[in-house]
Amino acid sequence: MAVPPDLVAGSRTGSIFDLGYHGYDGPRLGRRHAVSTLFVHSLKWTFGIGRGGRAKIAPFVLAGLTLLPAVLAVGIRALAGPAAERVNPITPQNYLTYVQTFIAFFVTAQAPELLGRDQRSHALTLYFSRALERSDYALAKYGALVAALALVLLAPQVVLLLGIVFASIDLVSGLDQVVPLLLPIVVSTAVAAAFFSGIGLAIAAFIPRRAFSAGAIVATFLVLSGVVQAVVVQGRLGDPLRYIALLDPYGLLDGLASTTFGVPGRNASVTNSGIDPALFAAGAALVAVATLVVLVVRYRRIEA
Amino acid sequence: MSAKATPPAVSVRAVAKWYGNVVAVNDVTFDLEPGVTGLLGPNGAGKSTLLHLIAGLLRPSAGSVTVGGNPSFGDPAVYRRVGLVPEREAVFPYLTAREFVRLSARLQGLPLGSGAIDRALETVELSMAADRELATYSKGMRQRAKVAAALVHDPAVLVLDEPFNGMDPRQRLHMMALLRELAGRGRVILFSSHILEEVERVAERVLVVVAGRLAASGDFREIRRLMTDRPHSFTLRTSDDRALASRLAGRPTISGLAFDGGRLDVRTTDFAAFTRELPVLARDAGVSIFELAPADESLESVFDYLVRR
Amino acid sequence: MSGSPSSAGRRPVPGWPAAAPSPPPLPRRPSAPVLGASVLGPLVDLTARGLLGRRRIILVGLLGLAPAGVAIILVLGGELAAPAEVTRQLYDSLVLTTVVPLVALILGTTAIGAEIDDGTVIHLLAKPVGRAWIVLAKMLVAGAAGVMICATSVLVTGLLLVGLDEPRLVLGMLAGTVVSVVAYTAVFVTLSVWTGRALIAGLGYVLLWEGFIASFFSGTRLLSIREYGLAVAAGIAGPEAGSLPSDVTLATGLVLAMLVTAVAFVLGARRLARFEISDAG
Repeated sequence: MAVPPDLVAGSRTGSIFDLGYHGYDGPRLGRRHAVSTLFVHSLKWTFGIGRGGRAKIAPFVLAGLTLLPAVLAVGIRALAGPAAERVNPITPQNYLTYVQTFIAFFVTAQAPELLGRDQRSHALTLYFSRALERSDYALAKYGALVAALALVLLAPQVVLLLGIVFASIDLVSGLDQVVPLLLPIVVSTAVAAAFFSGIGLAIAAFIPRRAFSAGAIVATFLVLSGVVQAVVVQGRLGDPLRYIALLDPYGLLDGLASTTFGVPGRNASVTNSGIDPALFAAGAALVAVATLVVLVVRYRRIEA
Repeated sequence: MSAKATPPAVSVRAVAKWYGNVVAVNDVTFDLEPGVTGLLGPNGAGKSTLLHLIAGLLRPSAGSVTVGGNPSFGDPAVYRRVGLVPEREAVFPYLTAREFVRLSARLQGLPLGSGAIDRALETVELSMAADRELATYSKGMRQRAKVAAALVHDPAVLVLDEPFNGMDPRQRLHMMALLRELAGRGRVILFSSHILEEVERVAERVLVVVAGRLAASGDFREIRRLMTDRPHSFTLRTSDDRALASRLAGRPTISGLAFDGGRLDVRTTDFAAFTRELPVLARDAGVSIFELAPADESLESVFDYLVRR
Repeated sequence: MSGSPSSAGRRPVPGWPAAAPSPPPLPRRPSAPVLGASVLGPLVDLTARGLLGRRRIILVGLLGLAPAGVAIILVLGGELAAPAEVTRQLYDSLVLTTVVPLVALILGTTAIGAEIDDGTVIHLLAKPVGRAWIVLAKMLVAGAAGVMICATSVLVTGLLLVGLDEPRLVLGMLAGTVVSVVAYTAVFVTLSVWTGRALIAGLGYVLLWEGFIASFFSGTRLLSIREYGLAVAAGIAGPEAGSLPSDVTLATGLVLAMLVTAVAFVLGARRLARFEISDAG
């Protein structure tokens, strides 16, 4: 190949070469597609799909642990029959409160994973220079964690429902027992997933380093519930101090469960403070929304 | 000149480093003497690993690394004589440059008020900005702060990992001059780079690392000369290209001739024979040679060849 | 490959001055020993600035002061029926079980963990300083910070709830807090030298080991730092210990806590001496 004249040693011309690159003028998928892609990607990310083996350990172990009591309960019921009911404390109505610690752990493990890496590796710049808006990013991440957590929480409750159906005399009576529970389960799971995820994400959004934000999240859950329990266990606080009970995330969960299912609360924050469980449920929903707002504002303002 | 009475400053003998199945450094042997040595290789070739091995921050999986006769790993005393400028940008962002260099000085046991800190900062031209936090520094300034911290105790051996990263041309020239000056005062300087021009300009000696192995060492022109299984290319400007070319064509050592604009490109398999025969042929043909230049004796072509091997 | 003799390989590079002929000889043995106690000052200074000088310490402080917050709320709520009992329960369940381990965890793992994580530890390791002194400096700063936060919190809590009526109880709680904070931070600092996942490991220890296992299997109580803290608190509180659970005597708890701290220190120092930098080239 002849050497182009401008490359001969000693000459001083320059040129630009056409390498055959062209721009893309075709249709672009747009913002909706970007958001849904990020949502799906984040959802998979939460379960460690596409990330290699080690990343799957935490979410699947926690999901398994969340599922385990339900499976055990159904198994025992199937084996021991109705007599088991008296010793089996696990029912669909209180399942969420039963596994509350695992919910907190799931959020502790996954919220930093979802948000921390993008902040540290400056991938946010790439995200925000696409069709994705900043608030879209926050919404997609929030939605993904909520969806993931909801899946993890629904599975055992579905198992319990199936257990009820199969243990009952015939299908109709089984369904009679089960169908009224469906709506409360969906609502309580959704709100529970939302406000737990919200707390975790709101904290993780401010702490890029994953281990530290995990510590902060678990510390928040432990300290909030610990402090409130310590305060309300006395059982005789007057207004307005007894409303501190609303700060307990597990209390909010219990109030949510008891409101949607119409059963009395079990958590000390609910019972000892004398506050209507419905207020706790409202508090849970409020936290879910407020943390989402915090998340969106944070990502609107973050430097990227 | 009793060059062999004292042991070489840094001695690397059959050193290998592996992580499970991945071999980062494979059977590398060399000595370092006073002067500037450039460690050259593509990314992932194991340059950083080798530098960390020399700096005593990694344990060799096989072989030995000694500094001043003592093994470098596990012996904090070696750092009295060694200064390291690591590649990672991370420094303590809440310290100012002066505090960072002072920390280095104190951890080296230098007495306070010895002026070493100010000297080090002056050497890297950070005296003016020394009281700003490192978090506010640009990348090149952070590099210079690291160099100052590494120089504060006047080490006999200075190891730099990609030191010119992030430096603008003026800073780079200054750093090159600094390294040359230190080498002139008898220090052993080893720096790594994947940018050929830097190594070409500063290093007296080159170690080429490819895929964890030492592919070549020494002066790169000598290395080129050693590469006998590859034809050398020259470009000539003469008074009569064709006449000379027809004479050359008859010689068995010539493997290629090309006319290119006003120049004659010659490829030869035997460098030594060519240099002997060319003047004779030119004189016999009555051709004057105005210019004879090697066309591929750059570090780039050497490197290219070594990497592809 | 190293066959070419040293001086022949050094061709002068055009444009640069030729090298001077006489290099300073490299001594066969290091001319001065590795630095010891004199580096403790600068290391403590550095760690203190890194650990305490940011907004992080405010959050840790808030965390540590949670029990005091509880005390304030309870006091505002009116006269307590059994303030001493409340104090003891608070101490056992909130302070020793949650707040102290978490504060120690965050401080302990960040003291050296952050530097290992972002690679700045190389600036400490590439110096002729004994590794033990580095670890000691980290433990001192993290421990001192933890003690200050938690002891203040416990003191305020005790004074608010029981005032000066139960001085031995407050004293006991303080002592137990100091002992457990020191032991916890030592363990967590060492843990972060050993593994990059120290925070998770530490959480696992606190929540799983001390939370579940140690409460079920009484034999393992001797391996729980929380038990040491309780033992010291109950031992010093003496008659005012009341319902503070303590299956372990004061002496045992104290000795074991000191042993755990010492062992953690030794293990940490030894591991740091063999530490290998692991950043990617």
